[in-house]
Amino acid sequence: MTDLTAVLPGFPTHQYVRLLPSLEKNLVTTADLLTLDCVEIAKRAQLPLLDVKRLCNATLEALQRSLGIAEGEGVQQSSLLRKTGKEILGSWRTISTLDDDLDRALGGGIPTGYITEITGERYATFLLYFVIIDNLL
Amino acid sequence: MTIFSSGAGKTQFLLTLLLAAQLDAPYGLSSSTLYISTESALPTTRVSQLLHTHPVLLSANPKPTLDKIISIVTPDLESQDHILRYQVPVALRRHGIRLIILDSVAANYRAEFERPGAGNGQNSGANMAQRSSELVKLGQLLRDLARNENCAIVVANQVADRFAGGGSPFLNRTTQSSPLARRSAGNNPDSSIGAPLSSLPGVRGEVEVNTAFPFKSTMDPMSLDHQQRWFTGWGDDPHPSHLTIKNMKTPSLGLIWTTQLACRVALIKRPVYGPGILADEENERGEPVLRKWRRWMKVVFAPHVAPSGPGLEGAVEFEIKGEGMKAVKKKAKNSDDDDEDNDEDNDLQT
Repeated sequence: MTDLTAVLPGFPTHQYVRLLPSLEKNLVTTADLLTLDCVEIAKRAQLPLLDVKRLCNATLEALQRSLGIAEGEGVQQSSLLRKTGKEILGSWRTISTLDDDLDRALGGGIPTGYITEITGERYATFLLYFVIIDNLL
Repeated sequence: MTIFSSGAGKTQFLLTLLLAAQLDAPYGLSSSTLYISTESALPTTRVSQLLHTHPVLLSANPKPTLDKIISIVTPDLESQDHILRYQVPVALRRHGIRLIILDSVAANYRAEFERPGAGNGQNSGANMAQRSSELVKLGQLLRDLARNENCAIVVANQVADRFAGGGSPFLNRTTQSSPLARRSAGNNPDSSIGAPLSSLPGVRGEVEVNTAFPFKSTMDPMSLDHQQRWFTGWGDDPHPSHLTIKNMKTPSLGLIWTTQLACRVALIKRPVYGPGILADEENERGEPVLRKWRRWMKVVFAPHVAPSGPGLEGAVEFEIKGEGMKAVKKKAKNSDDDDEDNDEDNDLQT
């Protein structure tokens, strides 16, 4: 359960403080809470079924709220994960590579708000030469 | 042997970003930048060389400075985690940083989880599972930073050679990182050369492979070995040459890490050999005469722009010069013959 606070930083864990140690000991993750049957979790962690059910529902609800897809009064709440097109356009910034062609391929450059990975070889791989020789001989 | 700028250009790319982010709107974010390095300190001489030679940086006002690049070295995983979790968020706000570069993301994970002794039998599986969960946490941490502070996060990643089946015995090793690193186009790599990689090998070939090594045939379209060409950046060439197949790479840290990323850019380099690569033209080290490297930038996947497409067709060729990276303008088809004159990258060392 260590990941519950990471997945849902604002989750009121204090309400479920009795359940968490046992869930943690039995390696129940937040994903398990959402995907497994409550009965199974209750059995695995040896906890009262109703408490587990309450926790599962609360987790689901909190997740939906943080995604901005909850039904009812919570819908209009602002969520970090849900943005309107205008908001995205307004905050859209990129860092140029200082070369027009490279920038064009990157859609303007490296965008803010995202993780971008640059991957590539570091050193000449001498192994490669063996492979080439291997094939030439 | 001539000193080549032997890398694919990652460092040049990152250093350019460090300076470009300091520029005003069309180019950058007018902000300070943070360079977190796991291996060697920031190559300041190269940064100042860029600063004094790149035309855009020269004409900029105000000029970017080295003072606005904050750099820190994180020699091990523990310090890396601590710095990212507790110090970076504070530094971001204090210095108004909008670009974080982590170079490289894999080094400390490799050192931590792939050390000898930690990798045998059951242990290695548990190790990898633990590494995966650590990577997910790192991804979440970086994503939250990127989103909450609206800053750009750029991570550099290394590549490992991807091996086909079991060609030569000494190549037939399995690395820790590596359901991904093991690529198998059937058991005998030579049989698939010439045939398009993106299609399944002939039925006959597959049957042969199947009978010889029942668990080695992985051209199953649902398998990772088959699908990784669409997210690793290597292997989606519809008409791969002999050399291309032998020169297949896989970014480190595998599928789990890939799922943490929004955008992957692969820098691909290919050797250009001299007029003859025959045995008698080899120098005394037994290498074919290597004339130069050609480099391409390829968008593998991104949320805001279309990928470059298969092979190197849509990729942008670039070269690294004293004044930075420059795209190679597309000329007539056989540009191979007339690029003798731009060998200036020889004086750079990554």
